[in-house]
Amino acid sequence: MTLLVPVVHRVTRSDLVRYAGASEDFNPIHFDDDAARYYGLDGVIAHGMFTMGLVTRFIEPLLNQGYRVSEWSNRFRAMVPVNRTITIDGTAQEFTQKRVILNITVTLEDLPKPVLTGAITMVRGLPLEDLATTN
Amino acid sequence: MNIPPVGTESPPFSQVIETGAIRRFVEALGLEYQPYRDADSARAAGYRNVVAPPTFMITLHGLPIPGLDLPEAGLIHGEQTFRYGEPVVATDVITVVSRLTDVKTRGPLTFLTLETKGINQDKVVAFISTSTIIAREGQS
Repeated sequence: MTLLVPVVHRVTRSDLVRYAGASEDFNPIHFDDDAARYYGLDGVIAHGMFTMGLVTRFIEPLLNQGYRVSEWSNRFRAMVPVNRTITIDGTAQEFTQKRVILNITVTLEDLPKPVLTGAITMVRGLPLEDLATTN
Repeated sequence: MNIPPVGTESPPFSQVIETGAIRRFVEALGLEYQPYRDADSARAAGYRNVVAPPTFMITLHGLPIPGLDLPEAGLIHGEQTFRYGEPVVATDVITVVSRLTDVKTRGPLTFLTLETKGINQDKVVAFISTSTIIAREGQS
């Protein structure tokens, strides 16, 4: 799957301030060290949804090929402290002209276990799933 | 911390999807897919207008669920699932309802599952978001 290449990103405080503003998630543990320490952290950590959102970069080559996301689930397994580098990678469990299922892993430098694992289903040229009948 | 019965729903809340809100979100994540940024590219790709990226739906939260009172900070987002229907695009009016669908307690930890459904102006389901939130007893 040469189409998809790992995304390597160093998470900065600016990233988290921008994401807080854009998502209107102003939980102070994501930008205020004092608040983070109050909650027992060493310093500010990334929003889980920031890390998940960055995974979108990894799938952009597939978006450019006309696939769109139909389902995306993931588990947040560990915190991502600011000023650390994450690597987003994935493998295809299924890859056809109509459907791609990716298993995603996000790892943090020097941490053996992943910080995020998930699965993304993308479809192309298929009718929309009627969510009204699945729930 | 107060937790209402499973099944408790928020009142419906409708909001217009602003082009600027999508742009700020896309820029905060450094996304380059052009239909996220530009209406002409979006239309060429089959969307009705600038399209919101998949995780943008997390910003479309509804009104509070009556009786649900969680600590402001110190919550952990454990799991997140999105299922997508009709794409959400700029100028859509999305109505969301959130529902408490599960509560589990394990020692000092409480696991809450919240489901948020977004329906567009044509009454078509746009997304269903399922979030598992972990709260720790003793925080206020």
